[in-house]
Amino acid sequence: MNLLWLGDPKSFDVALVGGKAANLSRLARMYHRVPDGFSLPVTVMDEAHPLDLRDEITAAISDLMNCHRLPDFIAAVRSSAVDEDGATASFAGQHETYLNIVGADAIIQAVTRCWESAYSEHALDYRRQQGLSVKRPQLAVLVQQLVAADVAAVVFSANPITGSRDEIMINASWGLGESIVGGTVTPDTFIVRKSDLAITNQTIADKQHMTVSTPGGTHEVEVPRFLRTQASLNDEQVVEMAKLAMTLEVTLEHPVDIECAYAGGELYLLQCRSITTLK
Amino acid sequence: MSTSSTQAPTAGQPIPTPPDFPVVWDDPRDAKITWMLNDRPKTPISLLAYAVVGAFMMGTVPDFQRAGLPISLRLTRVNTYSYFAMAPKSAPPDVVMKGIGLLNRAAPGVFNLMMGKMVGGMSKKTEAFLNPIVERFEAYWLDEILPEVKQHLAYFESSDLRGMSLDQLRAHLAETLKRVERIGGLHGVIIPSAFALDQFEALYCELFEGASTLDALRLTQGFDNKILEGDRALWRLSRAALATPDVYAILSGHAAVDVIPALEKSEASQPFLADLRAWLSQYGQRLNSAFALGEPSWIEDPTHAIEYLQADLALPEPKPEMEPAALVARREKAVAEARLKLAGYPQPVVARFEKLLKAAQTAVVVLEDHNFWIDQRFFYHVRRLLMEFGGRLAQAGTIESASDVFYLTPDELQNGRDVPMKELVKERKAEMERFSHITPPPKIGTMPAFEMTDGGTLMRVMSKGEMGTPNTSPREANRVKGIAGSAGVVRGTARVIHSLAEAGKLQPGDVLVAKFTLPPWTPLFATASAVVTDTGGVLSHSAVVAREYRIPAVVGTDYATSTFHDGQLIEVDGDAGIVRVVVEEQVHEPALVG
Repeated sequence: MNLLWLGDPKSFDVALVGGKAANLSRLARMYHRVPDGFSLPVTVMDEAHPLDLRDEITAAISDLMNCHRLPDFIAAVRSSAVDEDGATASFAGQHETYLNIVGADAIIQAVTRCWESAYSEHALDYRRQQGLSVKRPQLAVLVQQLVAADVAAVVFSANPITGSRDEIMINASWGLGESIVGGTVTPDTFIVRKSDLAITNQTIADKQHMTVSTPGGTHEVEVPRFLRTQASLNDEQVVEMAKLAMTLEVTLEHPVDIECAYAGGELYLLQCRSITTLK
Repeated sequence: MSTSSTQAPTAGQPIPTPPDFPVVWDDPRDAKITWMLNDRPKTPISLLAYAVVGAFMMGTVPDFQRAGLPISLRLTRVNTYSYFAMAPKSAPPDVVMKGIGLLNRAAPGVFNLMMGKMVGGMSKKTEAFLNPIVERFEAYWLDEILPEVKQHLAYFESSDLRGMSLDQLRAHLAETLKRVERIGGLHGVIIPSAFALDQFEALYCELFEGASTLDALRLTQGFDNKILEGDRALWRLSRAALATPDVYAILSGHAAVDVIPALEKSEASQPFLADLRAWLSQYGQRLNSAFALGEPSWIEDPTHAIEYLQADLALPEPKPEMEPAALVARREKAVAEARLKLAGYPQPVVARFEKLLKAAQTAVVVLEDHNFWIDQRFFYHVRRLLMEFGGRLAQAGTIESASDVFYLTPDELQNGRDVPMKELVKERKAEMERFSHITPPPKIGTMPAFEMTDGGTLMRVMSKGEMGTPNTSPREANRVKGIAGSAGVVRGTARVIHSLAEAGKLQPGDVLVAKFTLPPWTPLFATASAVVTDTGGVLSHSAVVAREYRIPAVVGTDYATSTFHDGQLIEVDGDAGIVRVVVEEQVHEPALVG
């Protein structure tokens, strides 16, 4: 067995699977709906060409489809380069992301591209020119289900503006999270009081852009007019997100900001970080 | 709609009338509002037809009011022509119009603000009324509107006109006029139809960058409807005729009016004649237009049907891409492409798209099927009743012939036992004859005190249908610019057709040029290579049917019938909405250039 599933304690090891996969693996233990997937750890990528892993990857994707009853497996394929000390390396060509990759063959192709970007002669030449380390890098690849988000949100378990730890702030907008994270849309804002989960304030914005998945990638498009000023979350969804943020805050014993999304009526947890800048 | 080219009177001023069209107002206040000529048809209308059409038009008012139009409808008949006026619902129209006109001149800024607010409010009301209907549009049509229409038809079908006494017929007439008013209300289903298509098209164009209205409408094409079904059944009859030498000889060797007597005499033609009669009883319950009550139905006089049949004989087998399965496949491919593209979009977008797609697909069928059930069948039954009434009066010697009944009012028919009917008929016939030779002014009364440039959502949506919008392109000698109604570019010989009586001159490959087209004209679309009209928008009958026949169409040109004439080789660009003369007076075979 060469693959490591998300949530498997072995994938908590940053040096083996990279920071993102390690983090997601821990989250998958705390919340049941983290988009599922697997890592090809550095030990595997170091020894085998992705094409040698074809059967194993195909079987894993088939397992995921069965397990989650999916008609297709739509994936995000990401590489991360890992230093020996476990810190994520930060040089060019080491973080490849392929979004909206559908089916085993296309996924294997994307993994191959990640591999080539790190190991090919061309990649090594490039690093040499840039004066970067030409030591053979340690590369891990994460293959994860891409959730077709109807609404994406960033949730702060403490109000990042006022610094209040009694409030939760939610920024939400239509489509995938890129438009919120990238700042190309003014999202809806909801403030929830932790003590009684009351929504104390909400501002519904004129949301002009959204990121959607299109065949072979993602694309930022205009939000159709009828939807722009509609609230992206209903009260129930706001409260569910607030509860998730509070749970994670308690578990991690620190205020957190999380990325999450509703897809098909279910709340998915996509990312969780500690808030370090709180006043 | 085209307007008169004569000097335009000033806003708020009385409209001068030509010497051959004197106007005397019973109520002087009526002279203070604007009356528009009811130009379908632009011919004198008999008193009885006016009463029926009037009841129908009044019946359409409640739906327009519910849809946010704060007006009521006024009708009048001047010099045998029918005129209508839109009047404010609450206050006396002349006072309101004058007041608004004054404000417009004194404080245009305030006026514009007020009008903007009013139009905005109207649009909100329109959307609040129509959106819930569009949400459940298929059920609205199939479970609410259509069953009630069929109930009215069943009422007529079960009425034994011959068995009724004259008094019973009088009661039946009163009941019929009530039902005509109600059918006017049911005919209002075209408002949500147009709205559904408008909303779908707008969303589609928003979602798919660079898409045109016609691209959006591709997803609604290829559904069968009752009008196309009738056309197809007639075409199949033409194939049967081709396969039966005796029938073929009669159809190709006789004028249309002589065909049925000849078929009756031919032993070998009997099975065909039976099929033809079956077709007529199913699809011939129609008048030349809904309001042409004074003209015979196709059952009474099947000449037009025979002409179409004769034209169909000359047509080749339909192209493979016109097969229903191919049309369905073409649509489904477009739908599948759209769905694939939207697969990664947020669920509310996909849900709205699917809802509007379904509503628009229903709407495009309703735009034709309502014609079959209401404009054709319902008015066929109204004419039957009126003719039965006339027949009785003629039998009793009260009038000369059955069709003289049209020169009498419903009131005279119901209560006028002592009215000198023969004299009235004679007088009114002469009056209609006299006025049939003059051109009625398009507007009478007083010029509007202000022009409403933005009529709000309802007006915008309705202008995509038969109503159309005024053409803003300058008038040119050899070219017209209209609305792209159906895609494709084709060249063909122009044939300007003013009425069904002229339909015979259209040869395969010709371009049909008309003021507008009515459902009974659709078999012409199989013969024509393209369609060009003066009036109507992208959802008008002409454009809808041209798309189903997959021939180019340019609609709402205002000037086509007055720019082109028979025999010119013209090019119709259904994508750009442009029609131009290629060669004067030269007859060419049609050539597809795009």
